[in-house]
Amino acid sequence: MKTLNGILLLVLLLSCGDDNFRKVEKLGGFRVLGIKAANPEITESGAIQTVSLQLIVSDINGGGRTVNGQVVSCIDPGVGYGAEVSCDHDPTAGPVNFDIVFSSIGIGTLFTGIATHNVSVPANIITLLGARDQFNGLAYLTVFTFEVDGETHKAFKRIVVTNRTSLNSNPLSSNIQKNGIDINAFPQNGDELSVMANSPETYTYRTVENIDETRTEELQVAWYVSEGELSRSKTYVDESTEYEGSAPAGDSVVVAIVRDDRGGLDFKVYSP
Amino acid sequence: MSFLFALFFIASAIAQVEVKGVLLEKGTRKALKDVSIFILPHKLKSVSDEKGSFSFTTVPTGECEVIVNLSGYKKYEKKTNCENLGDLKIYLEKVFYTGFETTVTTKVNKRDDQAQSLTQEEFIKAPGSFGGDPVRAAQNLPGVAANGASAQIIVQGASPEDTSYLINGHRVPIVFHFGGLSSVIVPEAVERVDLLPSGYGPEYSRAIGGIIGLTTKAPKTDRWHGMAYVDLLNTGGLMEGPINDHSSFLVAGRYSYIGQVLKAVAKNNEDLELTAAPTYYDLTSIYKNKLNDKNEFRTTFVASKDELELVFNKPVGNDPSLRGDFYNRTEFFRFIPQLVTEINSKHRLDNSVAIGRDNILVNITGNYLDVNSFVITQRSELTSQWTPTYKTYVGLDNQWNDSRVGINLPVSTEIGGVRGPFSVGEEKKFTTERNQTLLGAYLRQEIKTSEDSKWTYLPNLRVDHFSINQETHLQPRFQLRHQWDSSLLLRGAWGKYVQPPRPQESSTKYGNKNVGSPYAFHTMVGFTKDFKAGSTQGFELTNNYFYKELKDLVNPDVQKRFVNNGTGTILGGEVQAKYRKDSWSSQVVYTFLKSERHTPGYGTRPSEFDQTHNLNIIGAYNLERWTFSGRLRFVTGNPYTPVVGSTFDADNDVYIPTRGSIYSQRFEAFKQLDIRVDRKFIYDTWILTAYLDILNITNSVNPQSVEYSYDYTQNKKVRGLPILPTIGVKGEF
Repeated sequence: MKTLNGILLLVLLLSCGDDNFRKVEKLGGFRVLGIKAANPEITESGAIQTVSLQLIVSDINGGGRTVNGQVVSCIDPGVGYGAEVSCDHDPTAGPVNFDIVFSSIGIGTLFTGIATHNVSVPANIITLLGARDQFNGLAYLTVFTFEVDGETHKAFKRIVVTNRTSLNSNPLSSNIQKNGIDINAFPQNGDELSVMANSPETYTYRTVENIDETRTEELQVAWYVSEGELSRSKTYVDESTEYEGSAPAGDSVVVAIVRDDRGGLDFKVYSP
Repeated sequence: MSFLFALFFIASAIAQVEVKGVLLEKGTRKALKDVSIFILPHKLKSVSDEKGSFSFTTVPTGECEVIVNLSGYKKYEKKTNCENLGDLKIYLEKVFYTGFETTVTTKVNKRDDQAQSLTQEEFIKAPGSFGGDPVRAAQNLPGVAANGASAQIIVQGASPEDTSYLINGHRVPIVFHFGGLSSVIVPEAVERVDLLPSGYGPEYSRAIGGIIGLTTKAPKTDRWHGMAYVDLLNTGGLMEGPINDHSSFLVAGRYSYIGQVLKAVAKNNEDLELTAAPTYYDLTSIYKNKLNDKNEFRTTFVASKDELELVFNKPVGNDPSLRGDFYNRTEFFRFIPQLVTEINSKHRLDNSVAIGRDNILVNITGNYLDVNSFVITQRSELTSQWTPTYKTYVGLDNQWNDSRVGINLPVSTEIGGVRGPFSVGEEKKFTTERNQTLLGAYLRQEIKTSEDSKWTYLPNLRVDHFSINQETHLQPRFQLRHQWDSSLLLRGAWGKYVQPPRPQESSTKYGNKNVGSPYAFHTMVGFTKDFKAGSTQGFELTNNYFYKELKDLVNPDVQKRFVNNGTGTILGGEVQAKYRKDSWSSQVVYTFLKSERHTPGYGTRPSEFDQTHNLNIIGAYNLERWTFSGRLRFVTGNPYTPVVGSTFDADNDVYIPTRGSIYSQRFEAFKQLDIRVDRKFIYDTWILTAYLDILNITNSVNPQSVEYSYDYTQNKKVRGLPILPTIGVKGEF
């Protein structure tokens, strides 16, 4: 109970925020905004399956540089239980180089675009698990590490291996809309931005009581802009966010990333 | 004619009247007994009885003066014609109605010499107690510290989770309302608050840190009394008095409108919206019945409720998944019947049961924790004075919980005080029913080798059984007392203390059913030297040293959720120097301690509650109807774990913090000055008190936590309680 009070207090304190912190939606330095797997979930099998990953990356102030990085893949060490995001527990995971050449991707001088990587997932990693864990699946992590401007940037993506017959697929989003119609110019102050998406999928989750529960995905949108600010950095697909700021004179970009809260992802990038 | 005039004059001169009266204390109407009342110039004297009544049977008529001169009271003088006195009601005004001293001046029946107690008269006026709250006042005691804004109690460097809160000896789930400004009982219904730190006796257990106990008062029996107060945050009242010649009743309640203030503040906040203002209230009632010469029956009812609801319009800081509705309700009640039987001059039996319910509901954007518990606790104690040199206390201390727990929460692992985002944790959703039985029995012995021996030996024993993990623990506890002379008391204690793992740690569905019970060994020595030599004024010094060895502490574990792989030590000393002279009272309380924990993989590091220096300087000055008091606190800043990086979780769109060295940094020292001014207005039959209590008058920042940007690359210290004044008035009769 005393812990709970602490959590409540913490939540209240955190809710206050700090206006001097960088806004989460504001693009500038190097960032990984999302990682889309061609198959967020794969079926258990004896074979190794290759899954294509797309990194949505942005380095607007980078001037088209090449960012050097490494990638490593391994079975989830228990990130959901507080374990550090790392493949140190698997000596065979071995990092391989993964560089992003921003001069060859992105939009004009904004250097916001896609980098791809194929990961080999051993689809037999759940064989020894209990029935519930086989059903809900075990994550296979792919961890990217980049050294940029003396800082380390890490990002990871889970590929879930499961014996469920119905696998998760990525959501499909519409184009970004401005005031209810497809965007055709960078937003101006007060414009409402939104995206539509296909109907959320229903899926089955096995609880710790081994009850199969039918659930429906909740699609959320993360928003990013190179200029101005947004009233909300994250919305549900049926909500909009308001652009605050004047339209920029030069290049500019709006990014919307739709997530289905279980690893599926789609994205849209707009630049005039 | 002249003869008739002379006859009339003589008759008048020898005429006599009877004067009756009652002597009461002004404002409180308390009867003053054994007080001499004089009528001059006739040199007549009467002494008041238990009801304050007095009488003069033969008072000559004519001009006279009634005089009462009692130490501690203003002199009463009234000149009048004696034949006008009739039924006289004298209200004698005390010189001081406000006395303040942080530790006991009157004898409190405390068994453990190292226990510290505050009586109502003391905590009600304590600076920093925010309107006289007993538990906040207890933070002035040696070895006690607050845990930042939450005001949880830290006893001698132990985790707040390791301290139990009791009401009349029975455990309650919380002691503070939301925000920690007020405890869950109206202060005026509390007789005293006890702190049992290291080396406490066998009567209590299941807390390896210490015990904070509130004892409710017995309702007054002389007449009906009432009290009502209102201040910036609360309003409340109390009524008490006799029902008949052998029973009495008290009822008290309080309602806080702090939420209305917060709601007004948050009205224009775009980030969050308070849909229901946070509020709390509590109710206490006490019934006492002296059944006969041997039996006394008492029931206490305590109920408390806190409620808060808000909506996050924007995602929360560095966990954007936290958005939407947030609701918290915490409520409990206890019904505590108690029967005390004086079997004979040597044996006394004390039985009590607490029946109650705890309900905790937290709902954070669809994730929830819903705990509903039916609780019965039972205590029995037989006290026997076998011989003048041998006394025993044999008792039972049992608890039974029947809980229904509904959980839909992600696993949120906190290591080094740094918690990952909610959305990353593995989800746990289940409903479970759980019975838990905690059985306890104890034997306390007080042995002297002879009646005039200065040594008292207390070889005590405690046994606890926890059904939750089927463990039984034998806990020897030894205490030693040496009354060197009438002014110097030496003491020592050593013992083993065990507590069951917390429910979430031992849950089969959320934790690890094989988790064992953490335990500790306490060792303490100390002395109290009273330099007052029987006077109420002068100097008193208390000095204690303590050492605690903690074993099998429960820590989070990636594979097993929780394991008993933690150990720790707490080493410290505390000094309390009290000085009282005329209208002044003051004390200096200083605690030095070193609290360390060891966890495999993380090494040895300071505990989260390692507050090396804890200094309280407290003073009060009484000036007629005014009391001025203040408290200056200096506490070493708490350790915290820095976040040195983060990893972007591309599936959940959050950053997972990377911890630096666990508890390797400290917040700036905590400095706070609190002042309090009381002014009493004494009327014949009631008293009005106005008070101003200002916490943190210098508005010290006192950082308590660290707030991070979404990716943990920027941070800011979150300040503690700002300057917080409260003004209140209280009327009592």
